[in-house]
Amino acid sequence: MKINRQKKTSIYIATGVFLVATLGIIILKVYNPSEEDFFIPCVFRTLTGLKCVGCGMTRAVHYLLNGYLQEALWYNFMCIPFILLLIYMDYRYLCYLIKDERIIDKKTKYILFFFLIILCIFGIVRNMTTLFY
Amino acid sequence: MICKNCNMNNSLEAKFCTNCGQKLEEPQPIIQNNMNNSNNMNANIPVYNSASAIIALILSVLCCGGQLGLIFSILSLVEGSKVKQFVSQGNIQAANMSLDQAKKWDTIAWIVIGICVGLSLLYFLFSFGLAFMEGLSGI
Repeated sequence: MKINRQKKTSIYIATGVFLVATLGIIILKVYNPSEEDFFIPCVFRTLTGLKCVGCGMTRAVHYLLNGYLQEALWYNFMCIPFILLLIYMDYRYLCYLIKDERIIDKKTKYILFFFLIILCIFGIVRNMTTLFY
Repeated sequence: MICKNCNMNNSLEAKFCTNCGQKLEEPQPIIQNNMNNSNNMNANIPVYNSASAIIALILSVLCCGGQLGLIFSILSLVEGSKVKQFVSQGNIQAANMSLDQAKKWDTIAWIVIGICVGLSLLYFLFSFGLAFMEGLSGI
């Protein structure tokens, strides 16, 4: 494993993101976004009245961290696919660090594109039906 | 080895043509040069990588308030799709211009998402700090 300047910078950024994410997970585990008012309101929903794809994500993560899968999926169905995507992207990042592979190869690009299409479908379905929050 | 003067096929070791006496030249370096030229040509052909714009698109869709970034990442993808079109038409200059524009839209999308995430984090830290202080004074 060769560590050049570019990789070094990426490690610093990844460490920063990891620390912020860990802090966020701890806060989300302890506090319920439905009961506390210091969580960030959705600007898109405030302005348009429509639920965006990310609406309910913090609540979903809170319920997921506390072991309530059904509630988590109700608040935001995309929380599980999003976590899986994050794990896969972490794996790609490790491949970049260890094997010098490109983070976003052709296969990853297709996965991202597929995820984006599902996000768009979910955004439409959640605003047109009462299947989800 | 083929003679350039009379097209006579000579043996590989021959230095002069057995037919006309012309000095024979080894063709290998010419092939090498041609390969280098084609590699340079390939290096000059602009290629748009849509990965960054797709990630920006996903983040802007997921990030509450980051939807502004959506517009710029879509613009980047649209402009990026023109690059391949121009290359297939042989218009490299227009392809380069489209690539530059696509990169600009992509950068703007990331800046917008960064600002939105930064503002959201600031809002959260401020309101969380306020609630924390209120909790402390309540005790």
